[in-house]
Amino acid sequence: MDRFPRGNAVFAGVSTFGIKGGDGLQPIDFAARAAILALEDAGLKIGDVDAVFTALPPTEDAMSGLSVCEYLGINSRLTDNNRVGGSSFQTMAIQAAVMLEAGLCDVALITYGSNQRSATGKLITASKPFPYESRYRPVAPASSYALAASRHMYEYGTTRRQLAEVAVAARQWANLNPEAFAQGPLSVDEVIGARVVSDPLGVLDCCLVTDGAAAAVMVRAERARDLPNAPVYLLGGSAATTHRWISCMPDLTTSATALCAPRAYAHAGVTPQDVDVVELYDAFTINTIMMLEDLGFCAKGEGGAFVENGAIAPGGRLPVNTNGGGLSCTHPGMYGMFTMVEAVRQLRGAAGARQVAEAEIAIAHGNGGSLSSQAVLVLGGPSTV
Amino acid sequence: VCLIELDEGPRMMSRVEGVPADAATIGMRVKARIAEENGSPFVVFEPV
Repeated sequence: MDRFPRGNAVFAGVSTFGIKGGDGLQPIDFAARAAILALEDAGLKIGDVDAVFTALPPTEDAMSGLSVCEYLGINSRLTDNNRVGGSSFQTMAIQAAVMLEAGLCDVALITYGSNQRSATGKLITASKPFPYESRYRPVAPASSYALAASRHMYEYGTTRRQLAEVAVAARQWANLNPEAFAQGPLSVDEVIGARVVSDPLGVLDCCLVTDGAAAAVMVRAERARDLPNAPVYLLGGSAATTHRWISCMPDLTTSATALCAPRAYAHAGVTPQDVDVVELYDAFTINTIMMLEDLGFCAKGEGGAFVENGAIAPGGRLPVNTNGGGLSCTHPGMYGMFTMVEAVRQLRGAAGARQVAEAEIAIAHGNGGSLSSQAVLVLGGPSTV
Repeated sequence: VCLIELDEGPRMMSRVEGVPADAATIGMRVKARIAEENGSPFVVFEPV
């Protein structure tokens, strides 16, 4: 068993910024504003930060860690610019926890921002195409997820309606979140009838294309005692990578979350039954079904049945993606940062109309690439340490 | 697009040609053929 520093690192401040549009701001402006808001929330100053973790859109600035330090005027003891895609931020939180415990830093800032919608209106892709796939003109990245969805439907009888239920649940949560980009009524039939992007996924099975930024500030638990907000504890965290491109995914219906989730639960000393709220990376509707299985909330193949009849919507048996998720809240390109922020807000009891009663343990999951890189954090409230 | 599992083991992305898209189904046996596009060859598959 590895030695994760359970409960030693805490989230002292979090923020979101500019989800509904940034008015000509550049990605670094977004990330910097989110950073300042998270530091304000933590009761700390830019000058307190001594480790910086960021990943601006790769097409914008591959060395964005340096740019963020320069922009904010931080003399960082460690600057990280992880590039595993949307799960980068979970990976950063794991690194920050280990560094904080070792005394290698005292205040870690994780920040992300993107002007994807206002700049391009399209999902920014992170690398040049893979020649063994691009020859066949897949729609990147939707076709990769569509292939996984087709396989899941073939092997387990997962239905188009079950996929659509995921989008409807996300929209119902978004309707409770004033920050969410996509709001209003949405029915299963509307999701099924929407324009096909890559069969079987339609446009309402795909994450949004938005602007947006989010940030978190992490410190050691003892430091947090003097700070304004009740700390949210990082109880466990683990990542896993199985492949880069979808044609190389070992099993199209099981992600690397099945490898790293048990490790994160073991760090935290909890089981899926103990989890009160799940924030998972829903790039596409199939993700939610597959991740609920891989996170251990149901057996492999039963994710479709698990989400039926509003089970993950407000009032359902398991609150999933309470901000509205990548499907209805925001998706500026790498959504993983937002699952962390929403998990912290839920455990603080600060989630407004969408607050889950007595939430004490939350999952903040990240997904990167073509179901390639997965990372799971287990966060806890004050009763868990 | 589709993923083809070869009898030899590896899996590759490709296209199934010669049938309508919705008639190409998972589990169907297919056979490789060299196609050409803009003077450059690549592998597609057809139903056996």
